[in-house]
Amino acid sequence: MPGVIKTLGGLIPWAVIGGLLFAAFFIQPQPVGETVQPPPIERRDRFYGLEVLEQGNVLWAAGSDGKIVRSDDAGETWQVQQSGTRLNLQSIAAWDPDRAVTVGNEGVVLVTEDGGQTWEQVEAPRSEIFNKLVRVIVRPDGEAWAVGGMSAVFRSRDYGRSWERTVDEEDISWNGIAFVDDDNAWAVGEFGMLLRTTDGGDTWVEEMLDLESSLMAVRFRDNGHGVAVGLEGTVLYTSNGGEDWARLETDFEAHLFDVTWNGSKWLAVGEDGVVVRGEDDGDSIWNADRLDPDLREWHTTVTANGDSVYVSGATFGRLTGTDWQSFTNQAGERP
Amino acid sequence: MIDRFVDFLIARRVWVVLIVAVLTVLMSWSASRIDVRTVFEDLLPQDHPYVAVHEEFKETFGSSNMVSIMLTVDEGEIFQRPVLEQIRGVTRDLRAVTGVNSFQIISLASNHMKEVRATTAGIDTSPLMWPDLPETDRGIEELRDKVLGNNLVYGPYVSMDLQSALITVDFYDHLVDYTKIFDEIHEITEQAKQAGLEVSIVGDPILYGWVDHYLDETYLIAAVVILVLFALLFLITRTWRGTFLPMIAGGISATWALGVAAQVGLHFEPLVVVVALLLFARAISHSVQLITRFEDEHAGTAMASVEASRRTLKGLFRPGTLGLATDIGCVSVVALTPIPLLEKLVIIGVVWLSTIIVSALIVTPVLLSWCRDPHARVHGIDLDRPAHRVLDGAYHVVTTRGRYWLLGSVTVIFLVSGWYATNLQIGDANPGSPILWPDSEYNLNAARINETFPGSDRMFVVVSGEEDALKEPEVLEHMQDFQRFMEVQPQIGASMAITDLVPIVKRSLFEGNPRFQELGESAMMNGELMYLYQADAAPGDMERFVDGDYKNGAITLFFRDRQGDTIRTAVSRINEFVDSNPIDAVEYRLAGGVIGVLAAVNEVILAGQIQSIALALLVLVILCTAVYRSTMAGLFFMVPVVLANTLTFSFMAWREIGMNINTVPVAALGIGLGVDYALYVVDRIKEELGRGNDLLDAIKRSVHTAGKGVMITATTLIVAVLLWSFSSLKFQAEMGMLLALWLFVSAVTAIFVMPSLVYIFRPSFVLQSRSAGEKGESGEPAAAAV
Repeated sequence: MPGVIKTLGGLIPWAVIGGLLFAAFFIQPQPVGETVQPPPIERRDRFYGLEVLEQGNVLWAAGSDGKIVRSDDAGETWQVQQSGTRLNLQSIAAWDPDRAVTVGNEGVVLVTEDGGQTWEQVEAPRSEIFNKLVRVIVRPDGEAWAVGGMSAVFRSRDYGRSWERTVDEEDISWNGIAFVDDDNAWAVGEFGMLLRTTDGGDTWVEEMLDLESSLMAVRFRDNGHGVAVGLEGTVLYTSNGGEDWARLETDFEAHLFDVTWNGSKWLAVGEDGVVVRGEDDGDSIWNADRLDPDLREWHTTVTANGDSVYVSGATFGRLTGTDWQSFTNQAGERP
Repeated sequence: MIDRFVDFLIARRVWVVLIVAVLTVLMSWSASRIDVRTVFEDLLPQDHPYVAVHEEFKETFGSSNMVSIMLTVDEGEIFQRPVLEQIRGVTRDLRAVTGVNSFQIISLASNHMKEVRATTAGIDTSPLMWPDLPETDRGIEELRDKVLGNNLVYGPYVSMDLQSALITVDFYDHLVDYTKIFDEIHEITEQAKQAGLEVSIVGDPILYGWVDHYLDETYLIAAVVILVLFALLFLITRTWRGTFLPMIAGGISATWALGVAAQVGLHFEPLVVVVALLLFARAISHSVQLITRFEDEHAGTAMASVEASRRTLKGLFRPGTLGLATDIGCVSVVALTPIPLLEKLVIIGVVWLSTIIVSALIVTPVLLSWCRDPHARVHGIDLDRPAHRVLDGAYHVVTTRGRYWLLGSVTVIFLVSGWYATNLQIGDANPGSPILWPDSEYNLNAARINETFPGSDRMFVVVSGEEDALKEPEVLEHMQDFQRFMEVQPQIGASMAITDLVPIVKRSLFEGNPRFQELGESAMMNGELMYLYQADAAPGDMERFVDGDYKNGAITLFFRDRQGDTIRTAVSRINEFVDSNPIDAVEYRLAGGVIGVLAAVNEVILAGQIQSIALALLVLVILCTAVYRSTMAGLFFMVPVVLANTLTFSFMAWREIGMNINTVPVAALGIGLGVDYALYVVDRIKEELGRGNDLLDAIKRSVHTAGKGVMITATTLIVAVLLWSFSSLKFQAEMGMLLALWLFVSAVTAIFVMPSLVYIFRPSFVLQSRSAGEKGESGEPAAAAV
């Protein structure tokens, strides 16, 4: 027995030496990093399109890299939705919190019927030459209109599931579309071009204004008063449903990309963090301001809901009065 | 054999002293010319793939020498003419700094900073503020608007609050001279300071410039440490020989080692002064052992000094050389970590330790042989008695049940510290440079810049493919995804690549419409967009992002700190991305810039760490096994080494001292240095047993002689190295503490633990030297004989 212990005792040092040799030649520690969870809104995101529902509680944004985010608590928290595409989405519009449509580069059209749990890519007319849908709007009874490059003016009557071309293909980009009433609507586009329908969109007629700047957006309020905005500070005003468009005097030259009516004023956004406010009287001066004093980012969508105005683009936020609250800072920026 | 050698040396003692003296004089001439400076390339593991990528692309994509200068106004914005003038002035003057890469001076005022805008004729890229400043207030206002609208400027080079402007400047590796860069940049920025601007400067050249800046202070502290050592030795030993001989031993070794280093063309890192002190301390320890033994041989006898010296040398030559041999073996293992700095350090270390065999083991006893009156004392302060009381305590522990308690607590300490040591960080453990104190000017500057800008430390990842690969939409989109993925990490402030430029050019082609701020849909389109930008670009402008034939592109990541964890996370995320997003057209190559290089260094250190420790222990085990012809001996002497290491690593983990390029030498050298004290004590026990003493008597004598020597050296050295706490370099202060801890643990283990271990386990290699007749147990009955 003591002999066994002695032998064992003699073995221990060799075991240790063996262990050391093994450690020296075979144990190669590997660098291990920590895991990092991406925030729902990242610094590189650009949300070209934005839809606001339910007094500002439901916010739905679509943008670069096929990214769609949604908040159901007025922007407190955000969920990223799986769009299934990596193409830049340019615009999003919703009939209700469940049903929505989004369009974008290469003519991509996605629809959802379950609040964005699943997005489905649907067929839309395509051009051989160039496809880019830049704006989509929704109308009652499942109607939707999408406009874009190569004279794309597409209509859907089944909540976005199928689309038809309503204007023949030619090399003009239409950037914005708005309805005055059920029959009358206008689309705006490159080089001051306008497109008009008087039969609910079955036929469209081009009109030219004496204008070189491209128009980017158009919007009507209920009484036939409307505004179209565009590059180099262009603002057009009509008080008769588009029969006459007058160019307003402005003291700014910033590109404007979208316009909305918030119930008491017109608001337009554009490059360099610009926000333009105007009265609905057709002759008082429109004033340019900045969403935030040092904000110089561009914005492509502005929409009013409840007491606030929501703006998206290179940054993304809510303007209440003159108080700008950025969702980008809140969710994406570093502390 | 040792006997004959010793007799020979003592017989020709005059010759020995003469030869050593002549050699020392010669070496001191050579040592005085040693170059004290930091050479950055020495820090790089040359065969690491990251370093190869870094070397290949550093001149265009950004070297590790980048310096960032931040000018901040107290109030208002930088858009005031005097401030803009200062930005331009500094930017311009930087062109004259030694070793500067003048294509890579970038600021608001350089011709790299452009506004891209569409005109009727095409694209116009005009510098924002070059060559002239805006003349009028309106011009300044326009400049402000341009800056705010340009994401390549607003954010990276002008702070979000518009109060700070950043100037970055790069240097050619082979021309870098840290001291000159440090001085010249501070001189250039002085005028901006005069103009009321706050100036913050960071970057590796500046960091090493600070180290150089404190070099005089480092020398001063080293001198004070030596003086204090001197004073303490004098106080404790109460003899001139006890004071001078250890210092002579230390001095000779230092001179020889540095002399040899200078001869073979090695230079000396200022930060490594602490290591030099560590080696100096070894020489002193050995010398003190010899002197203590010498006095012990004399004790109570009227023996001639020559005879006492002879006996001293005979008695201690074996443990002394064995100690030094293990030191050398363990130090050599460090050379396996393929970093030139460490390899060079190993050469110096090995030479240094080898010279101790002469300077301490031979010269000390030879000089002692001239000692006339070994019993005389120079002063009356007797610290012997308290010292012996402590040593009695050590002996007392062995004789009572205290030894089991001691053994138990040592085991617990070992387990706990071994577990805690796993918290040790590889790489830097905190933001800011660990070399300097957190409140040092440099670290405050670094914190300020990293708070204001996306991050001053850069890593570039190279995306390489065939010619024109960098025009392919697939590749550019992949790069964009990569950037998006990497930017999620909080410590990465931003990233920059050609993918950020192309969409801006495309947007301006489409009337500035941001709906077209995207990559081109074909390689041809992307090629044209890049061509448009490049058409009137300045030299070095496009090269920052992509090379001439679009084969290699850089993605630059901006880091807010360079902690080990940050870098590891980034590297593993890069690999994660590349693994889960395979692409055939290009290959992602890690990694350049200062962070890329640090990643390589950290990986090498991490990979080498377990290997070095294991091999060092192996060297120790093998040497002890060979000398004592017992494998048990090898195991036995691992105890003090392992204990010293787990405790020091725990200390490092606790104080958040990371294992980085600077601490590795100290930690690695320390692995081997814990064993000397134990060797002296145990060897003396063995020797006393051989003279026929029983075990307890042998332990008692050993503790009071060898143990006393250990105590003297440990106390003096601990007090001395703690003086480093006053250093302006945090690194040196911490290394001082580390060394003190090392010495303390080794000493306590040698005096208290080893005798108890011998008594409890009775290892045969110690006990077999007992004369054959005395097999019976002595003192207490054997309680736990194995």
